[in-house]
Amino acid sequence: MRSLRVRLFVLLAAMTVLVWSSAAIWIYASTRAEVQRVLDRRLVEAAGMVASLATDAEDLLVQRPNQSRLVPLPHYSRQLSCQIWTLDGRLVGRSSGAPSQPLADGGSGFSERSISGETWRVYTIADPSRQIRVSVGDNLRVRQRLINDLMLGLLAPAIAGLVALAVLIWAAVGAGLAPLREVARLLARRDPSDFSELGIERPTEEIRPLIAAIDSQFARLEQLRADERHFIASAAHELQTPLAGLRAHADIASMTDDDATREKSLHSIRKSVDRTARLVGQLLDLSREESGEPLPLQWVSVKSVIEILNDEFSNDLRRADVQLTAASSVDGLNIRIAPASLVLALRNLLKNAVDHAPGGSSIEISAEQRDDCVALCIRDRGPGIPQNELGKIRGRFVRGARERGPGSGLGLSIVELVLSQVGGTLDLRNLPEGGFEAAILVNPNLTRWRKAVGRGRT
Amino acid sequence: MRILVIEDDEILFDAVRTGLVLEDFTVDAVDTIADAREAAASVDYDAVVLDIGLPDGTGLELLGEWRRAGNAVPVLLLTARNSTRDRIEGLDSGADDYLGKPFDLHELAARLRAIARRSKGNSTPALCWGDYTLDSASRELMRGGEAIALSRREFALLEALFEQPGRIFSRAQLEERLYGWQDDIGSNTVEVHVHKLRSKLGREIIQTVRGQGYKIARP
Repeated sequence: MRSLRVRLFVLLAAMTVLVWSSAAIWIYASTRAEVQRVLDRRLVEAAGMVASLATDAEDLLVQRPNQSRLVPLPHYSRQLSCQIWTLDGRLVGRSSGAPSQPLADGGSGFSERSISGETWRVYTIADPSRQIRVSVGDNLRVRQRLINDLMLGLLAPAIAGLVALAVLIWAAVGAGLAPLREVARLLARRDPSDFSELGIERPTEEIRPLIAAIDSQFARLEQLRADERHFIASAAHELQTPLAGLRAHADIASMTDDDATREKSLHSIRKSVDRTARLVGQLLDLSREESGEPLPLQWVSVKSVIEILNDEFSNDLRRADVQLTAASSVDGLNIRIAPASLVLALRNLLKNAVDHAPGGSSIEISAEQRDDCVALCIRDRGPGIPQNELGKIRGRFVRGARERGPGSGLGLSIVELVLSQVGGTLDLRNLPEGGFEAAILVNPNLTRWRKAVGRGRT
Repeated sequence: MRILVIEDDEILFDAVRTGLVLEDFTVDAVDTIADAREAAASVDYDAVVLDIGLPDGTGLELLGEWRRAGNAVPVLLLTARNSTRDRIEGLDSGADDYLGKPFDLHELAARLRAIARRSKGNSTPALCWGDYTLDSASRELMRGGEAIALSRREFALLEALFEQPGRIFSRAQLEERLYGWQDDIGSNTVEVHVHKLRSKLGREIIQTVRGQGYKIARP
């Protein structure tokens, strides 16, 4: 049923009708029984009275037989019929309107008999001393009419009451649902960009969870939208700077007569394009990781991912004169994660390491058991991050104060996002002996060491 | 004209510096607020190009700090935050002009010349002295409809003198105006440029004030 009001109304009305009809049936049955009892007693009393007044059979026969000896009464004449018989079966008296056939067979007490279409309830007293039998009968049709009249008298106001009740129930349900209507009205009237609370004063108890849910949903949406706006604004902002660099160097290249200056500008343009491309790539990674379906987890060999990345970074490594080495501790290490996620996380961490590692040094990837997790560590010999910046460096578009490299400030938040999908975390620290360590921490249940079965196999 | 550029993005930093030098500015460039503070304390710049997002704070903070201290150096804000609200905020916090990224280098140069000129009380781009006209936009010195070719430094030197006729500039002040930190002064000293200018324009224009420096007479 589409309307809550109609639904409630139908339920309430059906239940009311059910209760009322049960009550009516009950009243009918008990009224009927009571009427029967009262009327039966009347029969008994009437028969008794007639019998006590009658003389004996011989006297009655002498007088005018077959004539009513009872006074006809105008209203009840049809209700009670009385017959006086001699014990040997002659009718000696009857009331007016009483049939001439015997109302009862021989014997005394209650009996019922049909006489020319009418059913009679009869009480009979036999008096052997006076040789008479007195039968007093009630027409059952009349009895039924009496019961029907009684029931009608009860039901007519009840039906009128039911109609009145229906109107009242309809109105009451409407009034009861007013808070819901208020919520619906507020929601319908609301500006799509309005995420404030509904602001219903003193909400009813039943509606409070609904309002709370709506309000919290709005708050979440608002936060989400604010985050998204901030992200888009930051992304656009981050793109403006390399674009400005591109534009300015293009201006210089077309302005200058000096070949060296032009060559330098063209080089800067290439660098700026690379950087912009990297930023765009990271933005895409980020949005994919944030909005995409979670990728299926599988056991991924860390060693094989390192080999993939080693290939990918071979140019950068050569240019920076940096070696990438994997410690023996990562041999056979498998992590349960989506392969693309692990590649993405390690790629971003490696990129940072390559950008900061001094020439001639090496970047070492190793694995170790820590308190309650397994750590996959990437260590470089670079200058590290000032201690006061370690806390905020993970934020989006946040770059170190002394950071002049090509980074966008997105890498670490991508790593964190990827790791969060398997409950992993990122630990960053400056090494006491110099250099920097970025460690991927994962639950030991998600890692296992397999016997090294050869390079590159998972 | 000596300009301080405060920009933290390596590539843009490089581009603005190179571009402004091509536009005949003398450019010092730094990439943090701390360095900018130091530079502004030691050199009297004609204008400053200030990026808003800097690693150790925002350009607006530095600008506020300067304005509160009474430093009225003309400042052009250079920023990626390009909404109207950002511009209003920038201009209200004491900036003289505002340029959103990405920008045209020529426009940056023209705006810098304009705010520097206005700060010295000149509303026209040309400086006149006698029958000489020095056009800082077209980088030309005209005398009675005839152009006189000047080198970059000669132009800058003459521009300094023309801006404030009658003021005596010490050799150090002129050097500061002509050379950035990166520039190798070498043998091209102020004396050499004065000598060349005198040979082009005649001896009488630039006067030597013994023991103090150079000036041009009030017209």
